[in-house]
Amino acid sequence: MPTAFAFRLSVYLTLALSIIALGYSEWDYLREVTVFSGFILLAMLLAFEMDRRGRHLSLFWANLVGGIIFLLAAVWLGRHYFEHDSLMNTLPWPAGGLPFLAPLLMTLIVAKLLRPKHNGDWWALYGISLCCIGLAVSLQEDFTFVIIILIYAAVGTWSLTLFYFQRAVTDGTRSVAEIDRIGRRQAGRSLRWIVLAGLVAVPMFFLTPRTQGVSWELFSRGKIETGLPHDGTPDLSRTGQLTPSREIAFEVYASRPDGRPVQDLSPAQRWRSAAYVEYQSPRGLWTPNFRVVSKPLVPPTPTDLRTPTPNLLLPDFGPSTIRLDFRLVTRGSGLILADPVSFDPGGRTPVAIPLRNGNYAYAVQYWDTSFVFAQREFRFVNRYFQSVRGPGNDLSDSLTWFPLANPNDTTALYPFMVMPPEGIANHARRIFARLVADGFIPRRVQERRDATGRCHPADHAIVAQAFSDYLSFGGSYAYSLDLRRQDRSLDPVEDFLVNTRSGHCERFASALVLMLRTFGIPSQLVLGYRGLDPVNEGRYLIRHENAHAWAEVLVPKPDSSRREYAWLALDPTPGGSSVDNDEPGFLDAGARQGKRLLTDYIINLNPDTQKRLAETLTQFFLDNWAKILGGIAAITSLIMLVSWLRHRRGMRKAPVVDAVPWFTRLVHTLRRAGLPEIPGETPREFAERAAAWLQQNPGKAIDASVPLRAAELLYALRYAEQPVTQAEIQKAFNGDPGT
Amino acid sequence: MSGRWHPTKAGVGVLVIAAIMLTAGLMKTINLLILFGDLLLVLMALNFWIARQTALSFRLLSPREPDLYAYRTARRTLVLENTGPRAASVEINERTDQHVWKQFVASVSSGGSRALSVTFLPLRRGEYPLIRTLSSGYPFGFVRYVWACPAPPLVVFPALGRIDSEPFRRWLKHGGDGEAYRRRTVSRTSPFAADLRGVRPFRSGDAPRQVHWRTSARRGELLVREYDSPEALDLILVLDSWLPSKAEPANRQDLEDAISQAGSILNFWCTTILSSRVALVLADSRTIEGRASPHLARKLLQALAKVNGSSEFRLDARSVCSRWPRAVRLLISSRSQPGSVLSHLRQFGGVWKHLAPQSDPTWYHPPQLSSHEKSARF
Repeated sequence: MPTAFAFRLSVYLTLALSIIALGYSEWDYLREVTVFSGFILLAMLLAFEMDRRGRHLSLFWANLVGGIIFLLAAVWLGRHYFEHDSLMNTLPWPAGGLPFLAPLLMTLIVAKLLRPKHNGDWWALYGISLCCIGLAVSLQEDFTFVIIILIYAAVGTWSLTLFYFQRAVTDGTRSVAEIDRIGRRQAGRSLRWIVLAGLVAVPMFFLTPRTQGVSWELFSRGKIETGLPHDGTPDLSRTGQLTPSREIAFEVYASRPDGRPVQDLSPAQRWRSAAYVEYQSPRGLWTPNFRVVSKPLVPPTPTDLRTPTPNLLLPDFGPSTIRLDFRLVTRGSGLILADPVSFDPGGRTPVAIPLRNGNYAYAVQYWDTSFVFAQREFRFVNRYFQSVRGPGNDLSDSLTWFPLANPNDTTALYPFMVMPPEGIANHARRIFARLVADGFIPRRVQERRDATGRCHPADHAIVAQAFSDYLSFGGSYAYSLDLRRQDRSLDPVEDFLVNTRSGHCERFASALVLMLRTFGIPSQLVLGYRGLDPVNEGRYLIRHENAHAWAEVLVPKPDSSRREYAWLALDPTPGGSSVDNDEPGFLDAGARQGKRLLTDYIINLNPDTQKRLAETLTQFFLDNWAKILGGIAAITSLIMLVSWLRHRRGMRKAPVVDAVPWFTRLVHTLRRAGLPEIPGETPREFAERAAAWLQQNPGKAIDASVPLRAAELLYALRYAEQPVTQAEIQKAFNGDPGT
Repeated sequence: MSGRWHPTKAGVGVLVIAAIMLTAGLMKTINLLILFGDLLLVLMALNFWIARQTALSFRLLSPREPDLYAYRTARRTLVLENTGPRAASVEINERTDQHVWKQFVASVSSGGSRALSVTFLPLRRGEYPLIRTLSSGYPFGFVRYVWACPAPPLVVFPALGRIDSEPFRRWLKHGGDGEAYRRRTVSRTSPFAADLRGVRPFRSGDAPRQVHWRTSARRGELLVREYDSPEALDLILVLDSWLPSKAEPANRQDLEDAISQAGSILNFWCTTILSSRVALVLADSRTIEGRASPHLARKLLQALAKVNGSSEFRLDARSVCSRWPRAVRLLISSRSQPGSVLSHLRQFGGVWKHLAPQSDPTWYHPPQLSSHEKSARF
């Protein structure tokens, strides 16, 4: 079946775009597939040229090529299956198999293109192309990818339009040429339709109801915003652009015991939320402490206030004491406390919650320096108090010491010292050697390592600080909100350390924790916030964009016979950000804004965003309903005006030439005589009606046969393209066409 | 005008794909999949709207249908006019019980028209109810909007044979075929000759009676009389469309032959003897009469096209026979023995000639049908 060039071009472009989208989406998973997509595009060029020349592979050769491709694919899949660190064995099934479908779909497209094609084959190609897009969308969601998808949608619409013509034509070459002729015009129309469809589809998309379901691992497309993880589990495998969220996480009112507001809280104040010990490799997940580990340390329990008191009894740390009044925006997000948590062993509990009856209940201390409420119902609070030492006391250097739960058994610390994956451990050893060589770690530290490579407990603090400095100041790693993966077969932290070398605070802190564990240094990851936004009179806002992660290392108390330990906080995240802080230009600002809107409201739209958007729009409408209605009226008027002007210009530009003025005059004459034309009536129908009317109304100047003869002449002239002479017209009108 | 939607396989496929995308997107929280599914649904809705607008923007004009005769290929013309604001495409479908015509018109400019031709070979006379639709699936073909354009049924005239003028005249002049009137002259006036205008050379087929012997002798060649304007002679044709209640194919063939003969004679008469009057009396006692003209010929053929055979006999030619006493009276019957009909007709007076299925008049050449057409008749 012959095909028009415009149609072929549109189909090949559509298919090429779907392959480009798929290749792009595979970059983070299987890079060889991205390279392979390049070869597929070359093969498509070849197929396009063959189509132009009307050549195709015979059935035998097509089957042979298909068989070879199938064998190669089988070998390739087999190699991945038997490779331990292959993506096939690291991602969960069946989602883990999705990246491996891409090359099969790509080769299927080429195989179909090389063979003779009928309508069914073209439909199959469109179907495969949609499958490619569906698969690509499942793997990738960044801004560039969305642009590719939009281009695909526009070209695909054009192609579908031409395909409609292609399959409708039945008479061969002439119609094919006609499709080529109208192909360009259809491109413009298709563009308008896809824009129109987009304008309707986007509100539909916003209105589509969503549930708070748990995402599939491979498809963890939750909101990629700064903030604590919604499910309490930091996921280091997630990729995409991390968007700073200006939403408020909680508020803090800081005051002195006498009620004076504190207005000079440190801008670098940390707020701890939860600590994590168990790391799941290669999935890149941290498990919260309360779920997995026993309590290795015994907290130096303050005065145990098990019963509520009518007055608020918080410890007094002297003149620098600050009382913090926490107001959580989201109920049930757990206690967030100023870090480090100040307390005196044997003193009062520094955290209390106001009860409805006016009394105050007190939290109990936890082994990892946090405080929790013993009663379950108090765990979901949104207001509580904490007493802390002010900055004047230089608390950051003062550590709180915890004794071991069982002084003779250090195995309780093993969960904090689990050996990381081999790749991370090797990398850590290389860094250790470099730090020693460069003098950042004293040589004696290396000499005091035991046979398994563990450092001496007395050196834990030195080594930890050196590694932290290496990550934050070494220059090899950069802070970035663009979370990328280079080799998904690797553990995310190893991929970060070895390949990408850029990421956010969770990656830095996790890397530090895992590297330190290589040397037997007990450590954990802490999530929380850093920084604050002063408002007024001792009120501070802490937003989700302040979310932060850092590491804590368990260091032994020197010269202590009781085997006491303290948590040393280390922040390995580089202070600078890769985000360009220069004032952006107009275009850059527009692009950033567009990117942000696309990311926030399309890619990462979730029920919360939906709700917020609905509320914002409703409020906006209520506030500006007059302006909005006025704007709609103005736009409608403008459109009507432009339409009218265009119509008028068109009329002026191309005056209508009346090819049958004698018939028009006849119609006008009959109308004046009392016989108006009916909309939609054909000339013949009008003539027959007029003849009947004239017969029923004798005495008119026109003979009843005149309209019929005039209609015959009109049809002969206009539709049969027969020349009509003036004499024939005269004859038809009984010698007077102007009657 | 009534329109309806027709989903296509492609449209159903796209709906399924959109549903899968939406389901997967919602289940796995993949927003781009949801957006893509929504986009496909909107494109589908857009197709609904544009296809309807496109189909309704066209008008179908049918110039006067050509005369259609059974077993004769005819070319019909339809005119498609785009009344919409922009160039558009449409598909026209026309269907009878014997033909299907489908044509896609890729582009008709705004306000423009396109003449479409279709050849039609009717394999029987009679009325063909015509179903004519305009449809459009523009721009994607996910759905088609079809609206029916009202169209009068096609009327196919019976197949016409050829009539030789002079032998026919002679046959008419000698009356009483097969009965006691064999030697009797039906009419003393030739239906095709009136005032003598002169003589002309003898041509094969000329009656020896018309030879002007005196002039021939004087000039030394055979010369025959030539008449000026033929005298108008009226014709009363009675068609006895008899068909037994349990008709055999042979009976039907006889009926079709009789109708074909009647049509041929009437057409010949109406187009040749323009000033005469012609009446056709049908078996259901209907009489169609008028002044001979092509228009009357069409009217008579139209009536013949709709004749159905019947075993009942209700011929009534009294009125026309009493008004046209000098008209040539002719009975064409599909019975092999039309004696009873003849005796019934004789009560209306005059001399009746008749043709029966086994008659094979030399002046009549039946329509030439190919073997394919013959086999398709019954």
